[in-house]
Amino acid sequence: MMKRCAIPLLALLSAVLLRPGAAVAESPPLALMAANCNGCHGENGRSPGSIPSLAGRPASELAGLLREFKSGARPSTIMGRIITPFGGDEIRRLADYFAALPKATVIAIEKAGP
Amino acid sequence: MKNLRSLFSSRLPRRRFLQNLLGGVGAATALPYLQGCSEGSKERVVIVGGGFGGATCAAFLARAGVHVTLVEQSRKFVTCPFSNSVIAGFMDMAAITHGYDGLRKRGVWVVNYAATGVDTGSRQVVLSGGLRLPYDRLVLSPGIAMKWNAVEGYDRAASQTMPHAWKAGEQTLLLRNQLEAMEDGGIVVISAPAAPYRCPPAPYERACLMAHYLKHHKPRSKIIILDAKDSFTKQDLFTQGWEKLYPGMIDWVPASQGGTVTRVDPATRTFYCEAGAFKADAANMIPPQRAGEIARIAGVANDDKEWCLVDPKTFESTAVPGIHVLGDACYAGAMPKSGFAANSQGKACAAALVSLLAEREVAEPVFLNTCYSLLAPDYGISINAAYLADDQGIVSLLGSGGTSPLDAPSSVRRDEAKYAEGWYASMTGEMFGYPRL
Repeated sequence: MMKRCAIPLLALLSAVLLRPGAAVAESPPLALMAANCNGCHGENGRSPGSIPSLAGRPASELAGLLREFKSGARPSTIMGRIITPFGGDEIRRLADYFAALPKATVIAIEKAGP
Repeated sequence: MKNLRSLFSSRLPRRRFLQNLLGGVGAATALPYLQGCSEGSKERVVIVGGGFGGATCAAFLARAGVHVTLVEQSRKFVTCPFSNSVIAGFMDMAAITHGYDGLRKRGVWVVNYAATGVDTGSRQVVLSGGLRLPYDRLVLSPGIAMKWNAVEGYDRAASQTMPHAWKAGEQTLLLRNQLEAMEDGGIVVISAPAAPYRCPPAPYERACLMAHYLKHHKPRSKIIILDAKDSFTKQDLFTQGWEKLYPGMIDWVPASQGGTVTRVDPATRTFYCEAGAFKADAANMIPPQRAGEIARIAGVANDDKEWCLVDPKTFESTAVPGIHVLGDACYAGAMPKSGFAANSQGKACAAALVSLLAEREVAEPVFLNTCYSLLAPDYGISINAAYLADDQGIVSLLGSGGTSPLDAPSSVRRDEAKYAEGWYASMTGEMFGYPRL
């Protein structure tokens, strides 16, 4: 199944994903790390609740925030603790990854409890 | 603990298919295409258990076009996260109850039957009523089962008068009702188990939120925590909060002071331990736990017949090939038994399954855990860590994680309470397939 899907999928993904900044999203661990970010920041980096969305924000803004959280220059509740083990390269690649995702255009929250 | 060595610098070839699995909008756009692809496929993944591990894994597999069937006996899933807020009376059950239609819309075949057996020889899951589901890969995410009679006198019948409320739903309401029915000046007893158990901070969050209710409605009441441990997670933060928010209301009796409950009498709601006999007006007996029953039936509960040992990269059982175990039921090294941990494992397992089905090498996983606890509706604290898999199993990343600081101002506690709600909205949205934003 996967093998049969792979070639047309690659073409489709190239069309959809290969935009400026998206080229960094090649390595599976980066994509998996980003999926972990989404646990709090919402599917595809679009938050339905009180935690800030990441999708579509400038990479320079996201990377800058993460660097400042890590150094403590900018106070945070939890992000400083989360980003601690990750280095400058990881920060830049995560920032590029989320910057390349489209922002939410429609706010349609069926259920964003509690 | 392990040093981070270029976590994201893959030593493996590009895997755009996997990227699609985890990679956002491209996946959404590609989904109908992939479903078309999978129609004739022979690879079938069956997932048993539609909670934080199973529902997440199902959502991510469907997104990658894998033919996935989710077996969950309940039509609705009630989350343990925020169930303490229901017990305390400031949230209702509807806010923590979720259905599976969102996952169905995303292409997951959801079957509301109980899984009663696993035929590992012919690779079939047996459902109540005798229906059989063939699988190529089986994921078990059954959560916990209570160890009835591990504490003398505490069996399923006893849980009706001394609720555990450690699986959310009817049990949550039983405990809520006892708290509401209690007179001012009454005694609440919470019996906390020894590790490992589901959601380490939850007994202490529960004590706080019950105290929050009592402080406003029955201020002469007291809460006694009888503990089978001498320490617990975020202990300094909890005890600081008890003194600040609920002075004199919460007594903690550790194991070293005789707090380990060995017997209960459900007729009188009495807990017995070396420290004495404690008769409760509201009785919360949280018993020792083990992996959900289907894990034992399938023969994968191989860690002292209680929890399931797994490969840390793929979550495949070390006992039975082709069966993967996620969430509270598995032994995941340094990761706690938490909803967020199960969610993170569900994503890593989905990625591993896509690679295994395609006979490709499985990439190195990375995991996160973030747990919030509420000490009051506007007072939150958190603990977090990052993990990866190595030869030792799942280990913490060096320098990762920690807890909220002890000296934080009330504005930080308020922000963390607000983020706890956002954490819940994001995770359940992703798990249950609420509309994409």
